[in-house]
Amino acid sequence: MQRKKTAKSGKAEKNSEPLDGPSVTAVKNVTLADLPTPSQLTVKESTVQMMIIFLVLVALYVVAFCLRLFSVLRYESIIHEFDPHFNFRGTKTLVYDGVDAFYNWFDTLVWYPLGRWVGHTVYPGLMLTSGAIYHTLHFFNFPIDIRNVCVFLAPLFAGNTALVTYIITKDCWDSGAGLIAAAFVAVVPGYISRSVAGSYDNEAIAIFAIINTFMGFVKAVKSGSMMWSAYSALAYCYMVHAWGGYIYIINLLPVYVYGMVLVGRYSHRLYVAYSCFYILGTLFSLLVPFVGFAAVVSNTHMAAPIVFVLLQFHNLMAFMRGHLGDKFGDFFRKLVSFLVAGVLVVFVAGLALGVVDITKTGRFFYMLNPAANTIPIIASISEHQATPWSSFFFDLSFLVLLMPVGMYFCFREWTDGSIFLLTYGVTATYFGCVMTRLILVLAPVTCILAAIGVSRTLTLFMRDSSRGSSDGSERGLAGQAVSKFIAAAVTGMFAFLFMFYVVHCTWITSEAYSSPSIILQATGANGQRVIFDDYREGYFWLQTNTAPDAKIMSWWDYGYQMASMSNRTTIVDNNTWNNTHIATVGRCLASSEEDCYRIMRKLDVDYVLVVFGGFVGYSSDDINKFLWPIRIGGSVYPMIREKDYLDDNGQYRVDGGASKRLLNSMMYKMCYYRFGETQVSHQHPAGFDRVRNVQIGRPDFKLTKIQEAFTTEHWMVRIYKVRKEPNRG
Amino acid sequence: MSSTDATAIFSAFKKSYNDSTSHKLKVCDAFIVFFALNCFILFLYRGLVGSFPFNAYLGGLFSNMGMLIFTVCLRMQAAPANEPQFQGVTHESSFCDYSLCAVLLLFTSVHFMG
Repeated sequence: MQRKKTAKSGKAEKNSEPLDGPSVTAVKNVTLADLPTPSQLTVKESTVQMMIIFLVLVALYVVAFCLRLFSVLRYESIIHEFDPHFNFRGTKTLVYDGVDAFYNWFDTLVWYPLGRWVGHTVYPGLMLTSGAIYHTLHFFNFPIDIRNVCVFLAPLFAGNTALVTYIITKDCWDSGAGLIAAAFVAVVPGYISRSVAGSYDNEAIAIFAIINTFMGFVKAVKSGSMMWSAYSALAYCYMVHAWGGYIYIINLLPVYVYGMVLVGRYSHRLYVAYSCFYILGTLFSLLVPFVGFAAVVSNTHMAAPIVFVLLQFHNLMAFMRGHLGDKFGDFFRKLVSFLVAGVLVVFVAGLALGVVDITKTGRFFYMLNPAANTIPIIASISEHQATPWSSFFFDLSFLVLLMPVGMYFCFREWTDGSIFLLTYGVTATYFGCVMTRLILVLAPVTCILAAIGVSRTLTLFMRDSSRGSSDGSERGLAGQAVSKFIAAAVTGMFAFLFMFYVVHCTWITSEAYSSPSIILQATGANGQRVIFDDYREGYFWLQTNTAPDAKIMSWWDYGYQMASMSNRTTIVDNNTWNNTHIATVGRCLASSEEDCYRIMRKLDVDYVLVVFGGFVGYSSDDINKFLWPIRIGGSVYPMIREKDYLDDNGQYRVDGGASKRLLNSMMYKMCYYRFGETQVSHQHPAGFDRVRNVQIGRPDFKLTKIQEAFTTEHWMVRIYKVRKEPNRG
Repeated sequence: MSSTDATAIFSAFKKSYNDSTSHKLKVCDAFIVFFALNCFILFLYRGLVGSFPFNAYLGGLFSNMGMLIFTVCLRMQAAPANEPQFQGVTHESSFCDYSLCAVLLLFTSVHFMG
């Protein structure tokens, strides 16, 4: 966002200070109270202020929407990646079959032969939102296709996120910081990465829902009104419907309340806000079938009721103290001893009866203790790896440097709102460091805190036009004198930084975050654009050339895309809810052809699909991922050992020195069938793998149990048909 | 010794409470005690008979706990001693918010009981 430089004053100044020295007056400790409040402005000024705010927010809506459209302009309006395809299928079911059918939907086309109860294992918020928008548009006779509604939902909600960020920053600080925060969050790459047009995933609406809930809660704490508590509980209800990250909210708010009580800022407004929010919020979160009763029985949700009980206790004790006066001490001592004994008895009884569960496994405990990364299927997901240093600057640009500035100012102005921002900021930073995916949660609060830092700094230096410059030197908005040169320099520096930020965000969105991953692009030798549409080619071949009840086996990465685009039954998909089933597929791909064939016949598999990048140099293919099927298969079936597939030095290779087991495995055969007689280019011998940069170790072999059905134009998707047993009659 | 202590505490509390609380607030307090008793009865029932339709138990418990909390909040906002903490919240808006929260709570609880 471009900031105006300070205008030079027209009249000649009689400056008593040297031009390039700092102001000789001592720096006054400027607080928020010194700044002009809206009530001190004239009517005309406040109208102008409202107009500016409105225009800026409208402009931010447009910018946030348009910046996310790169892939739609370059390719077409298509659903990207993997998870969005499943969400799209669910939305189609909701829109065409109705809400009841969606909530009770048991999907028999996936996880053959187990199936999946989708209605109770999915967060319905995204589908419900798209369905509502679709039906509203159709009601007003705008016949927009459901695919376009889904593709453009995320950019639409990005503008909403900017709006609620403005509101929450305005409540915690002032509206100038609010506008800057909204501008930052509209374009920050950490948020864009999961909300481009086409990325139809839960995060598209979840970030808006998080900030919305926090906004409602901060308003509730500031005003003490039950209406805002009810609003924040309803916003929390929307958040629970939207994303599994709601657990962050239901743990952050108790931590914030407890922190407030600890630093001595307990007030009745805090009590009203949190108690009403807890009751209504927990009740609403029970409405989502996927969450079920977890809100009241699960140990990841226990912070909220504990703080709730503590708050009631605190309030009750304050009430009793008011009435008992000096007898309160005796009363309190009796009560505490009684309660402590009671709680201990209940806890020990719960442990003994097995009711209390203190295990420490699973994805959420991994986030609290990242060193305990023992479950292979969680460890294999690329987004769950620890965040590298570079991705902080990549995703947040110079906001990472301004965030501590904002935190410092929040410490200086110690209000309810600033304590909340500090709590949110510190916890979000921790989680942003644990997993790459959680930079998304860090992005909004970084924008807010950076905006506070920027706003507070700029108020010292930006020229306030309403105050006369009586002694000839510039006066900042805070009313203290600064040298004109310093003021202009600082403002100019910030203007440059903001322009750099926008350029950075646009470039990153264009280069890094706008790829649909289902269509790939490369530059040919003559500079021409080469499009690799092999994925869709393979999936549509399946749709048009296989029987409607054919079952397709592949590694779980492609399950959602296959189910959505080829409309066939899949064996495993990205939901990864059943580790044993995935391990069976992993074992199958890692075994020899005969063993694999036995497992495939048991699973009724008709076709097998693999992704192979060695012909064109596409490096995220199945051979590069092959160690994961081996590890996951080996975690359940002990006959699959990872070291059998590595060579004598422990290296993973596919050339002549590779292990015999690897060269005999089904994955190797399916990827490299007939590749040994293919020359990828004139410089290389036949059978040269462009990704691994070696000649493959076993160029000639025949397939006995499967036959090749289809290979796409650039050999990226290869489909094999499983032969039936010969008729023994 | 402790029983006289307890009696002394209780009578001191009773005297202070009767002197300082207006009639309006005592009505609120009676309501609060009613909800607390309901919660206790539900809890006792769950201990004795079990919680089989768990969503019914939760629906009953939450509606009682919720109304308890909302009445406590209403009382807080109505008590004259708390005026300085609740700037901008009039008695009328306080009661309006109370009704809104009660409607949301009871509608959802009845829906949830199934």
